[in-house]
Amino acid sequence: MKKAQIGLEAIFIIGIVLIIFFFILGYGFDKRNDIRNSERFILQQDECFKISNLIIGAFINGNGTEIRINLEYTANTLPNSRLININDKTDVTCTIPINAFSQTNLNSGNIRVYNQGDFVLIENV
Amino acid sequence: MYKKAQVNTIDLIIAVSLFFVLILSFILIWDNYAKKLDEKVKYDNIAEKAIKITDVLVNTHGIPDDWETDSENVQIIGLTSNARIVSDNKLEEFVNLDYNFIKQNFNIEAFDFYLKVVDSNNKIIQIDDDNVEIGIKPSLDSEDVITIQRIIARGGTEVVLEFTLWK
Repeated sequence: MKKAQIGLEAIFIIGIVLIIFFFILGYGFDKRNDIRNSERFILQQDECFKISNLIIGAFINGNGTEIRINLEYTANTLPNSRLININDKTDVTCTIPINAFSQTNLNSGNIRVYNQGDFVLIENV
Repeated sequence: MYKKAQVNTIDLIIAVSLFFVLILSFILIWDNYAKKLDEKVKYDNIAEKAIKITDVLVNTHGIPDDWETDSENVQIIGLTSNARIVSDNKLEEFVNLDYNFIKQNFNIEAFDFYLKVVDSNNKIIQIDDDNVEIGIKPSLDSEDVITIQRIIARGGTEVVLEFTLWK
């Protein structure tokens, strides 16, 4: 009667499979982090584009234009450097081609964007 | 007599090889999608900049209103007169501005741009015998090229402002 056996080569292959399995597991975790970071970046960038679009929209539409919207993140508007900065675990910045808006630190929640004499005021409400 | 369970080495090698091929395919597809996503994010970013710049150019008179009389102190470049019709004086002054100054003003130092205004025959319009164009045209090797066309009113006719942003 032959007892259950396993060849030396099979043990070798199983060993290699295990090593590669752990490598793939590590790769999977790494990719999962990449996806989470990408998702966070895209959401923040969308928010950044949203704020800069609102400022441009209020500026173009002229004196008296008022827009209200809800923000998901905290943000800074930086007219001198013509930038909008979205804060979270990492900061995401986008540019804006005008500087006629107020320098503000915005909290998440409702904000008001208002054109007063071709100068755009941004504030939490 | 009966045979107890045994591992067939050849079967195992085939199974492991197939497993590796599948995993490798999965990794390659994943990487490919990640690259496509990165490209889309880059494209969206450059498209946003180009759209906003053309919005400001064709919809505003700039700050100060009469910046064309003192273009060194322009804060925001806009090309229209108050009636939202493109101003020849502003166009003329705009194409005479320093290329790097415009990039700085639009906050696009990391990019290059080319702007022209063409008539209905796709011919670059002229003001005082000068072509209304400014900037550097992208080459065939340029990456991330986006062109935005905006129809604008000039006098009694319509012309097209074409703005190309590239890297």
